[in-house]
This record gives sequence, C-alpha cells and structure tokens, in this order.
Amino acid sequence: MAKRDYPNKDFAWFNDDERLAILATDTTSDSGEKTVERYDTFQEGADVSNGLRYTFHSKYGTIDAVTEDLKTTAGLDSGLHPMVVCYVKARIYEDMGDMQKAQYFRQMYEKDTKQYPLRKSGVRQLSVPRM
Amino acid sequence: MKAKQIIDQVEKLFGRQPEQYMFQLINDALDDIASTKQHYTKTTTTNLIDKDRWYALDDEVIDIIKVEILDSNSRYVRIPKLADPHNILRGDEDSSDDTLT
Repeated sequence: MAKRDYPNKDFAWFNDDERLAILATDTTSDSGEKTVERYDTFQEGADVSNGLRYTFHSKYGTIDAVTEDLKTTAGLDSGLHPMVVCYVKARIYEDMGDMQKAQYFRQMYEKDTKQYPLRKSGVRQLSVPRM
Repeated sequence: MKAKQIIDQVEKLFGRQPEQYMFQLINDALDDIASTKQHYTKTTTTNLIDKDRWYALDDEVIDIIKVEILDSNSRYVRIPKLADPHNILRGDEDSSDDTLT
C-alpha cells in the first residue's frame, strides 16, 4: 500500500453528504485482491496520529448567552452584525403578522448580505476614474 | 456586537421578548448567512486510521475546500480530489479488517 512520502501522488479524497473518503494507491504486487484498480482504502499497518487535516466552509457557532459576541463566539464578521438585527426584526414582524414591515426588513437583510464584501484575499479590482 | 446589544435594539422596537426566542432567531440568522456567504472557514485535524476509508463529517461542515495528509516528513501535503469516485470498484462496506489485503 501507498506510503506517505508523496501524499499528493498516492492519496485522493472525495465525499458524500455525511462522510469524507480517503483513498490510497494500491502498490502491492502480492495483493490477494482479485479486482485490480489504482485506489483502495489506506493501509499502512498503523494509524497516523493527526494524519488527516481538512479545511471547510463552516456554519457559524451558536449563541446561547447574552454576553456572547457574534464575532468571537460565532465567527461572524463584524460588518455582518447589522444584518442579524434586520433578520431578527423581519422574523418578529412575520410572527406578529405584519408582512409589509417584515418584507421591508427581509429585503434590507438580503440586499446587504448579498452586497457585503468579505474577501480579504484574492485579486482586487482597481477603481480607475474615467478621465 | 454581543447578543445583548442585538436584544436591546429589538426590545426598543418590540418590547421585551423571551430570551430563548431571541437566541433562536439570532442562530437562525447565522445559519441563513452561512448558507449564502460561505466565508467562514475552519480546519480540523484527525487521525488517519489504518484500513478505514470513511470519516464522518461534523454537522457544521458546508463544503470541503481542501484535504491534506501528514507526510513522512511531518508536513501536511494537499491531496487531489477524485473526480470520478463512482468508478471505484472496491467497496469498503465490510467492517472486518480481514477482508482488506
């Protein structure tokens, strides 16, 4: 089975909705398997401590105390905090049956959330004034 | 902004609301923003288990950006995503390690 000398060559991953699958190339020549293919389950004879690391888009943390901060506890960018207020107002107006005001705050929430620039990395465009 | 500041703003408009109700609405807002913006990234490390193909994903995972394996020099190296996993022939459904050779 594949060793971990060149993981980018000998390992691959995929996922379904609930699970992440790690595959490794099958390099053994004396395998007892009848079906031959490039990838199989990782087999090195022992577990590798902290051997797997994955990075993912995550949901925010949950708030369950008044003292908790939306940035430090939940991870929400501070610029998006006013949108939470809009969302909460929209939901309360919905529950009260005032759909007109609910719609107003819902639209404000959706517009501001959509437009809020979050990228701190990546290519930025220069705004060149028309001369 | 703390949860209390949001609750204070709402209280000015609607009067006092049950605390649990407010937390529920705030958390609903966070879930809704997470589904549209997807900018909050996290990294998790776990053991690479011998003869184990599948690793359960936490409920907080929306989508996976990258996966890395600890190489023999103790550095994490990014591995490619398989484009055609449906073509994998050998399954890994049997819980017995003896079936893997």
